[in-house]
Amino acid sequence: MSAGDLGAGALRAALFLALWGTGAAVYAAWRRDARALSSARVSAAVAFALVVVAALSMMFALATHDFSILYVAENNARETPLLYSLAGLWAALEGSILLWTAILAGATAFVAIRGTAVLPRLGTTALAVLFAMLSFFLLLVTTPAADPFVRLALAPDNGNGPNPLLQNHPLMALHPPLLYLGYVLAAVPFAYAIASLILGEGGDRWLVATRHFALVSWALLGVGIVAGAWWSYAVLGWGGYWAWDPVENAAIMPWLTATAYLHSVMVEEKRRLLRTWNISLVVATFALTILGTFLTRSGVVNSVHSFTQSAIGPLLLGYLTAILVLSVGLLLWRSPQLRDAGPVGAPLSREAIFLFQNVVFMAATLTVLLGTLYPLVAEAISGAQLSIGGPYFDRVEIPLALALLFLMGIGPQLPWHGASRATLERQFTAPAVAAAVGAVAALLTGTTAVAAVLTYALAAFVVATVVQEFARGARARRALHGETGMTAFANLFRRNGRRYGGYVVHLGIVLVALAVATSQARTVDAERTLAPGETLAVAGYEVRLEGVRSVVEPQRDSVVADLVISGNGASDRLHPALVAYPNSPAAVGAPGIGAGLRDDLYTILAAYDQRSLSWATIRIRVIPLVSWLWLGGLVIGLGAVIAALPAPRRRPARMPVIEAPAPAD
Amino acid sequence: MARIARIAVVVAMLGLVLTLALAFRRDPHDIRTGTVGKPAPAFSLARLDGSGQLSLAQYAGKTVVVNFFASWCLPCEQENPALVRVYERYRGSDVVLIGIDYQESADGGLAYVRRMGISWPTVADDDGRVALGYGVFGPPETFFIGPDGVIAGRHIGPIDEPTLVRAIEAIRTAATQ
Repeated sequence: MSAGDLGAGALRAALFLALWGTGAAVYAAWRRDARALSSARVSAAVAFALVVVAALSMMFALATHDFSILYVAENNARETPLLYSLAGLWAALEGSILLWTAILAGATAFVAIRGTAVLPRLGTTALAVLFAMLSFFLLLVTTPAADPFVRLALAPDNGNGPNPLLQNHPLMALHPPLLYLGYVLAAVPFAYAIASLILGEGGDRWLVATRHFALVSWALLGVGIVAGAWWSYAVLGWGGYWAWDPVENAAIMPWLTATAYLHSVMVEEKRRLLRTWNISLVVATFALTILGTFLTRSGVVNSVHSFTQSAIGPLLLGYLTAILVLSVGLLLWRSPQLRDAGPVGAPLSREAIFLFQNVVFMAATLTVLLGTLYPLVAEAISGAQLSIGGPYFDRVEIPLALALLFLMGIGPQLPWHGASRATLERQFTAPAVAAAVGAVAALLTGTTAVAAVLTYALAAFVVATVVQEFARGARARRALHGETGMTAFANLFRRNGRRYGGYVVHLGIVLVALAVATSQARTVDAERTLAPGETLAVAGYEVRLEGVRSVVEPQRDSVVADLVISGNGASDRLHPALVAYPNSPAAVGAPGIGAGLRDDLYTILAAYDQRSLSWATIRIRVIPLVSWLWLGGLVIGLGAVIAALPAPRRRPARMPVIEAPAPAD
Repeated sequence: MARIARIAVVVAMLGLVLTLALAFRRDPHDIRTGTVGKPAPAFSLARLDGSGQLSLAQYAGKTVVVNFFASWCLPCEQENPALVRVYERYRGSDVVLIGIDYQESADGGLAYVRRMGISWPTVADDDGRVALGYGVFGPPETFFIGPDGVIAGRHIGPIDEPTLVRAIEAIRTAATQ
């Protein structure tokens, strides 16, 4: 049996099990039937195993260049290196839907085994919802809409090879799976929220049950977005990392609503407020992941990322519509039961700032959505076409981002219920001074753009609040538990990871903000045609062209410029290239990047002497602080890990001691 | 108040789904446009190679193919071989090809033009104003202007040789009748 037969068979069996599991879970939740539940659990586990088998068979077919499968023939060639062969699983439509299905099957199995044990009725209802969604995706991969195992009657000798842009950088192996994980795991909080609405539970149990899923999904989405920006920076060769492309927008929108949710959920936990709102955010996050998939996979918008049109568009739209109708219908039906415990109250309280922050996040999401969909709306109404470019998004989103940065500094400093004047003075004196210092420092270093100066000031403000929080927390632990400085610091993370991990995330966001503001405001460009031995000076760097050579590899031909970098304490060799793949009519640029904490030297081979390789046109961008962006992504991921780690269980006290109170939360 | 909010939510949802459904009617490559059938907006732009200005008026009475491109646009690289072949085919005839570099500095555009072997006239529309006048959706985009100065057709996205030739020949046939 070939890998193709195995994969196709496994998917069909999994579809059968998912449909069966849907029925079994519905019956189990309805009649509280233990046998139906155990049948659903087994179905979920086996379906997951089968989808994994299918995904592995596809990877095996790609790695062994089995061109009898259409997908392999289109996205792989004999010369494709192993890493890119394996990454071929998510290089095109059918494979990515298969990966998506595998992750969803994993989440379904997890809920079936763990979730239904913790909260039987709610978990079982959520399982039914997840099974229904899994059935839909399995239906896609077993019908012509997105069948990855379509066979060719006559296998070609060699395949077409992956898209050149997708075999140019190892990050390609990382960025899509991270994003997909983030997208798909958002389905779990959604399933629980829907289950809670179906059962008419007014409480917050769904929210507690899915806290970790929401956090992990949010973190993976965030890290995936940063990895995507990095990939774009390292591969596309234009020296940028974000272009407000529809696919980028599709990824940032659920991240924005998920971030809003992570904060407003605390208001519900602490004060029993914003219940309808939180369910709405979870629904919006999940619906936006599907909208994003629809936009990028249906061919209705023009984007670097869009795949060719296929029958999957109308199916995804039907799915999105079903999700919207189901969730909005349930929300409208159940909203009278979702009573809040009172009004939000004082404007200078943490809950009020969270609410305000949520409003700003919504504004950001809706404006991105509007910008992405406006061309479609305008055409539907007036028939005219227009494009919404970067300028619209920059103008709208930068002020919103600055407002969020500001609120990020204020929120954690305010107590719940409201703050007294004395509290305000105690909490904000040092951060306000820091903000002023940040602004002055920005002006002194020659930054004049208003947005950039504000960013520096607000970044200093936020960092000061975080440092203040850590210092006070550690001091309290030293005083109460007699711990030494480092132990007290480490215990802040161990005992209250959610809070202090959150602060670490805030620091990561500050790094990202500084990177974006500085790289946008202060990049220096230069371009010159050089003969070997000639140099080009830019921003304190000396770039000497040593020579131009051509390199022949099995899967591609390249022309490489060898550059020697000196100045600014640097001593480096960079090799920007133009790479030609047999399946692409034009060469793809591969930039040579000298990365540093202070700035990146980004070099591009723009043109060269095709006859005798006697000259090359080199384009250079000196981009300050851009590596802080990737660093920020890493810090955000680290903060999320700290926040997600379970707090250690308290040891049972051997003798009656008076437990010292934990630091105020 | 709550009632209005409910109605608003339902209407917004229907609007979203309807918009997305209507979007299927469009083919992202061949879209009707507000500017087809209307006089081509006049422009006078600096040539990328620095050899002065080029204005559309210079080519009155000819069939003009205006191609919006940019060096940062990957589909532009994709369609370039087709443009090169069509340019060679009609070289010296009454068919003119003009490249307009979309929202980009002249340096970037010039390097691209050299790298891609583009020898037809290219000009810089660095602030995108001319593109706005033509209702450009995003590069690459190609407009076909008849000898009467009226936009006869438009293609969005990378174009291929048969499409180019068909559009050009359609204009020439219409002009001789």
